[in-house]
Amino acid sequence: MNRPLNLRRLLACLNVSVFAPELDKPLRNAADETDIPDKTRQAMTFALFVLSFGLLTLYCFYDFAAGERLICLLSAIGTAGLLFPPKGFPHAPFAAACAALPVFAAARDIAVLFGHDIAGGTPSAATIVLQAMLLLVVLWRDMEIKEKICALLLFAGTAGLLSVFGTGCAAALVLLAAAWFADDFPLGVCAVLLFGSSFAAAILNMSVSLDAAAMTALLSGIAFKIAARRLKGMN
Amino acid sequence: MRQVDNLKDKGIAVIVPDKKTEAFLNRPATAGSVARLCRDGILPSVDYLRAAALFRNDEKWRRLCRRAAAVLGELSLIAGLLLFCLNHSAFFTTTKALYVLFAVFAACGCANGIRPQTAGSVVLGASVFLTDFVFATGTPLCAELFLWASLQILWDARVKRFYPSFGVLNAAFAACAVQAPAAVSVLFFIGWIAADAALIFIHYLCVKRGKK
Repeated sequence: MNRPLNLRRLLACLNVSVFAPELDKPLRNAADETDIPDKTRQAMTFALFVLSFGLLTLYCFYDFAAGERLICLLSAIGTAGLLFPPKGFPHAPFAAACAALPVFAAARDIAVLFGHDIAGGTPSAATIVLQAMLLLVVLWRDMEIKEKICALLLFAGTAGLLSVFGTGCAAALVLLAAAWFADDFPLGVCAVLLFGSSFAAAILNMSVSLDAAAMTALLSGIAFKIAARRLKGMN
Repeated sequence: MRQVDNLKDKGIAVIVPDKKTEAFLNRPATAGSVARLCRDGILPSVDYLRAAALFRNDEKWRRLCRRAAAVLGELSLIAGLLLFCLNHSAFFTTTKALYVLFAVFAACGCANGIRPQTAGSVVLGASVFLTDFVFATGTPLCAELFLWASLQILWDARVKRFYPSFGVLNAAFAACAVQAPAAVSVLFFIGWIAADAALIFIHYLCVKRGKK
């Protein structure tokens, strides 16, 4: 049975020497902090920030244009902080901020479904493209040629989702990709739930005939089932 | 330690971690602990994604994506069918709809697994209600539910799992109690409990026989 990778081996893999004199103090500081229950503190911080951003989303519906720009700004910072955890800042607020845009977009899609006339979406779309490009740029250096082609196809797929299903689905997909690359599993679960709700709202919001919507849902269902089969076969 | 001695011989300053730092370094690498390394300036921020790639549990992520895709797929297919039926509601007032339902039910009977079994149960219920709708028999709801429950018991006997029958049977009794409160007496409740007990007993026997 394989032993789980510990921090020492991980640092060694990344050419970071734990014997370096300049790392002595940071390592001692990090070791001193381990007594605090890590998961509880992170979960509480994450919950606090999710609550704050949820309330902010609610507030944004009173002044939609300004609120959307604020959420986009926060989400972009959150993604950058999630992919490059900055020195001296905790991880949880960035993860929560990263989820702000998909939550906002899903809330808008659901509000439109219930008859609220909300326009806009350009700043959201621009932020999603920016986040996807950030991911692409960050990962480009470590990719092989096949992976680069796959990444470009995924990027095109995100753009397609943006044009067909709106910002909610695309924002959730980008969040899922960011969560996967940063290995933030709870954020990944949030992304999947947001994708599901945005997708359902998008299909019901489509300005097409019922037959066309039914056909879209059936085709999407078949595509999802094929994807599930493929993922099962990869075991 | 030999490596450390070699470095010392070369005149390079080396700090040997104490016990607490040793214990910290022996902790398993997780997203939280590696993010803390970045926060404390031990690991450069640009290397965080590389570090995450080293300890990521791909199987866990694949399972999440597979389950999400499967659930979304099934919900999309059901939503597609419902939207299609909504748009062609006139078709469901004709006898042709009954033929279609019977054909779907026969197809469910030919397939194995929990999904065809569940789909068969839904089609069975739809057939019972549609028959009343097409021929305008005016049968009360509880009678239709009792008919569905009796057919459902036969359908569930195929796989020897009677959970849907249990639900439909109780719904029928509840509907009866609501629709005809005058008929509700001690005997009614005894009958309700006896029917449930009989179904549970049959289920128990089937499970016991299945284990043998």
